[in-house]
Amino acid sequence: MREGLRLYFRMIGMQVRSEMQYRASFVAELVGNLLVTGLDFVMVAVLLMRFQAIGGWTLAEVVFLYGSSAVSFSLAELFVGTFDNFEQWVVRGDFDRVLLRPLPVIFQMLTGAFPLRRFGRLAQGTIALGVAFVLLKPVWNVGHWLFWGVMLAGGALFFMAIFVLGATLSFWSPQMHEVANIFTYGGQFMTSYPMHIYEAWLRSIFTFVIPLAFVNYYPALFLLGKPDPFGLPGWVSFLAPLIAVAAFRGAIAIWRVGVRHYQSTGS
Amino acid sequence: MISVVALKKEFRVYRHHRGALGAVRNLVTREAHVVHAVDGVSFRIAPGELVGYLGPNGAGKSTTLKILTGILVPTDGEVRVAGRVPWLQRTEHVRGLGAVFGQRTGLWWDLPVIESLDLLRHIYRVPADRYRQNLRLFDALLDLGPFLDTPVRSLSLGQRMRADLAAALLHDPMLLFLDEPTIGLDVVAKERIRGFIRAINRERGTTVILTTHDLGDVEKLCERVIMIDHGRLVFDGALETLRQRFGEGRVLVVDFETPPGPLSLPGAETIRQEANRVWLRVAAHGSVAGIVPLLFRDQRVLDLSVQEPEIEEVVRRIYEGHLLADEAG
Repeated sequence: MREGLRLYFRMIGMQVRSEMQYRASFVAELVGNLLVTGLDFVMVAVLLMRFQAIGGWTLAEVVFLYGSSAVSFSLAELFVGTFDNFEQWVVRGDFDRVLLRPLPVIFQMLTGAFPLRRFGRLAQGTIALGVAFVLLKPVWNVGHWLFWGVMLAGGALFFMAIFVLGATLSFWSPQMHEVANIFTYGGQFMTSYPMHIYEAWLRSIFTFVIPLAFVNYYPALFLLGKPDPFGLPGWVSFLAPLIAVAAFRGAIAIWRVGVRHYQSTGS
Repeated sequence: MISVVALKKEFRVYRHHRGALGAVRNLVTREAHVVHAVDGVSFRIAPGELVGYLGPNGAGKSTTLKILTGILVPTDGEVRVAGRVPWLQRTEHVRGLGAVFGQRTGLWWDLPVIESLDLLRHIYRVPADRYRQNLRLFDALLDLGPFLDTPVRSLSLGQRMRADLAAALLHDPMLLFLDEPTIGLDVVAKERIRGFIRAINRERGTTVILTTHDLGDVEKLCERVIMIDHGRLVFDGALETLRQRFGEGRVLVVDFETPPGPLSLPGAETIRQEANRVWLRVAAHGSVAGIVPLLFRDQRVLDLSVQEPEIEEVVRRIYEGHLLADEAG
């Protein structure tokens, strides 16, 4: 275990140093990423300040949800970045190299990239959360804070599961990546805002098909002390860790099937 | 060491539609045809052998190698490498092997070579003193020193191949797979790499299996050749046997003092004549010793040389399919 951790940091270190080799490009992308995500945030803020509230949610509450989703997603992006453009690995046959090394495949996937340049979203999420806390001034006990931590971690784990599933599709068809993006980046967008602003069908998809609502929206309802407008029992707010762990394990199981279907490339 | 029985690998090749909508269509309509990349190949390889695995493009060489290394799961057949099934016991299996796949590097592209080697040491848990020992030896044989601190992406092809070979052997594998180890290299670089492969095979007893298009590699390295075509085994045996069986016989080049008249010699036929030099092809199973005295019988011979059939020629003829029918029959 300790040896595994040490190797993990060694390999992540390699990725970070690799990224730093292109300093100009790194800085440019980091700044670009910060600007784009920042702009996105300003847009939401402007809209909210204009309308004060969206369907019973105050600005602060929406920003809290928005920040939580961004932090969860960016953590997932950071840790499972390799899965995000995995179709490239399949197309170029780079996955061969992973299979040739005496380390678990998943371990290598977790250490195959560490896109620090995507740091922008994490920064943006953190700032958003800071703003939300200043506005909300929540009176939380230790339980609340823990619950919130579990909510963020659950969200991150669930997004990781989606990334892994999206990558798995590449074993069968590398172009499926574009479809997978609907659920990764699309899912992140969905979970940034309260569920009731969406049409019923879309809401159902993200509640029952890809139950992202349970790792983000419902725990937030509990923390913000809001009733569920859709009448689900209160305890669903506590399902986050269960659903996240189940989703991640399921994704890994399907991923394993995919690995056995890996066809490599011509030569 | 390696046993392969009736190995088969089929690929389903799907028609691909482009774009996001096309991707959805690909899932719905699966128009596939089956390609038999490896179609019933069997062979055994003993510890310490250095085997050339040959065949024309698309014959199934790389596919076989990828199955043996545990990258691909075969459709059918049995494979045991050191008692293990490669794709089922992948981590234990790959711990004991080294592999260099031609054009692709196993090193970290943007970082100095030494960093990759150092990380591999940790991945394979090579003891520090063994690591130093190996590094010193590889440096002596491959002259790694000048580019150990250079990022992999800036290396020449030859340097990169040397670095990759060193990386593949740091953990003292019993088995080394090389896919086109000399492709694209100049003569000097090729020689250096061949020398290294030979040294590793002889001095450490490492079993080596290599695919190549360069018959120089085969002639200089391999005692045994396995040849496949269209996924089937067409030859397995000593390089010398291959030459004898499929070669069109040796050629005797004779310089006479004066231009000779038409020669009629049992077991040899004139294939070319220029002034007083004559090229005679000795029948595949004929004897040069039986013919030479006949030459001296009528005329003065100034010079005499024997040309072995070029392995290149032999292989070309096999690939072109002239000889497969004989073998199969």
